[in-house]
Amino acid sequence: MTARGRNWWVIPPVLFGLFFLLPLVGLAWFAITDGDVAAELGSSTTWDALRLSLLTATFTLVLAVVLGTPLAYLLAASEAGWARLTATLLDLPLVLPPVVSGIALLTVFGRRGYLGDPLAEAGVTLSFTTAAVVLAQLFVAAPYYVRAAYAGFSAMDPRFEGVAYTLGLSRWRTFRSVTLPLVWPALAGGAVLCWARALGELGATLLFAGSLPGRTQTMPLAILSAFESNAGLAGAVSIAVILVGFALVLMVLLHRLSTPGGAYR
Amino acid sequence: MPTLRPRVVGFIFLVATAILGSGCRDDTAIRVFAASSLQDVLPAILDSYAETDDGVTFEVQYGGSQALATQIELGAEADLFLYANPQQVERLTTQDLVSAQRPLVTNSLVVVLRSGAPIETFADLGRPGLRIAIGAPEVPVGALTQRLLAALDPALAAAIRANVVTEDPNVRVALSRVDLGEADAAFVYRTDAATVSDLAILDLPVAVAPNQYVGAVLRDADPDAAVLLDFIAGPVAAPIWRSAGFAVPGTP
Repeated sequence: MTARGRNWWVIPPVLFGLFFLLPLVGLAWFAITDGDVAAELGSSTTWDALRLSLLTATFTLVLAVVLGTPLAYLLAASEAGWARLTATLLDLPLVLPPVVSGIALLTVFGRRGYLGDPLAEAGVTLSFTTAAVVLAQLFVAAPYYVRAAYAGFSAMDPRFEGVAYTLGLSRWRTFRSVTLPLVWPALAGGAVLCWARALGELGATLLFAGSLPGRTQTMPLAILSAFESNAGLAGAVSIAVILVGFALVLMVLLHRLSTPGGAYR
Repeated sequence: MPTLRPRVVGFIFLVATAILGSGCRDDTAIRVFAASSLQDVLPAILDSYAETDDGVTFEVQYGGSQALATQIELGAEADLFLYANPQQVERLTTQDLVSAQRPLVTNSLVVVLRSGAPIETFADLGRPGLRIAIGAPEVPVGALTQRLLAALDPALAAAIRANVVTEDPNVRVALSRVDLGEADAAFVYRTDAATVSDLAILDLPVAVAPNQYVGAVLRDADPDAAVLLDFIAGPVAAPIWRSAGFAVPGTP
């Protein structure tokens, strides 16, 4: 009796879990009964979009890690006011509706943007290119990684690094052998979030990069086009299920990679 | 960048009005489902009808013709359905959900130009290096653009296709490319072009069948719905349609 009473607390979390699970099951079921997943899997537009999505989201993740890790480290190590302000500003893209992020990018990098003329003189055109897809994803998704890395670096006890330096380890060696293992879970968690957000990016990409199959049409844009077409909901859902399927497989792989020793024991 | 800001505000307003769609139920109102491309013209026509019939109220819901047809199929209650793309909603008639329908107006394709774009004639659209926005082939405006390209001289059509930088999922997005200065030209409906004041417009060199709008009185509709449809298709509404860029059959 008392044992059962003690277990009642699990009911809300189980219901909460179902809240996330059921819509996904519903989506899959709708695609199977009403949609035509096989036809979409046979369509070159879908494969082009999937390839472009995986490629750009992965490239975005690489850029976010390479550029974001030193930034997060710098911000966490500094006590100065500007560092806190910058850390706060980095959260802003998380709040902006993606369409607004797309317009914000255009105001700087667009043809009539502040850097439009200098870029054009240098022979660089960004809007409507695959590079613009990556920049849009980076703007929207990288803050998830930087935020997580910043939290990880901030929570780390700086004395560990101090000890490593007194033992004569170089800065890079210290970072690799002492700092990185300590903050690894935070970095890996942020990386998964960043990649996933980049994969789902729609609004900023549409505004800044456009939607051209093979060049800038990522999976979310292909889903949007399908939704507006004669095939309507059924077509859109069929493509969506393919995206969710691929994302699921890759998320499981990423989770395994990101937890040393494997989380799924 | 002085020219961008009012447009940004305008764009955000457009997005906001698209989101704030629904109203509350009113049992005596005539319930109208209308294609979203009618959003800029229908309120004026309904106001004009209200002057002839004191006390009449409307409840209008805008959306993609396809989405609205699906809602009606799934049991949404409406009296009048004004839609684009007759072939898309044929299944409403076959399911006996429509009691009467009549063609209303047409909307044609035009090319809008960015101010300062190096384009004088339609043939200039094929000049290498230009950036052109069109609708995705899945959406009505994109399908119409594909029909136009197929009717053009093949060499010009290929040159124009090579300049296409984006196939947008929505005609208003394609229009915004030119409005924001990112694209040099965009293929949009004349009515969309009419919503932006200072854009240069190129007419088409060949005739393609325009997009046809149809009004349908739905099964078990309020009897006033048929009267309203007659008004919408009638002589009082015609100038309102025309000022928004629609073509009214039987008039110049």
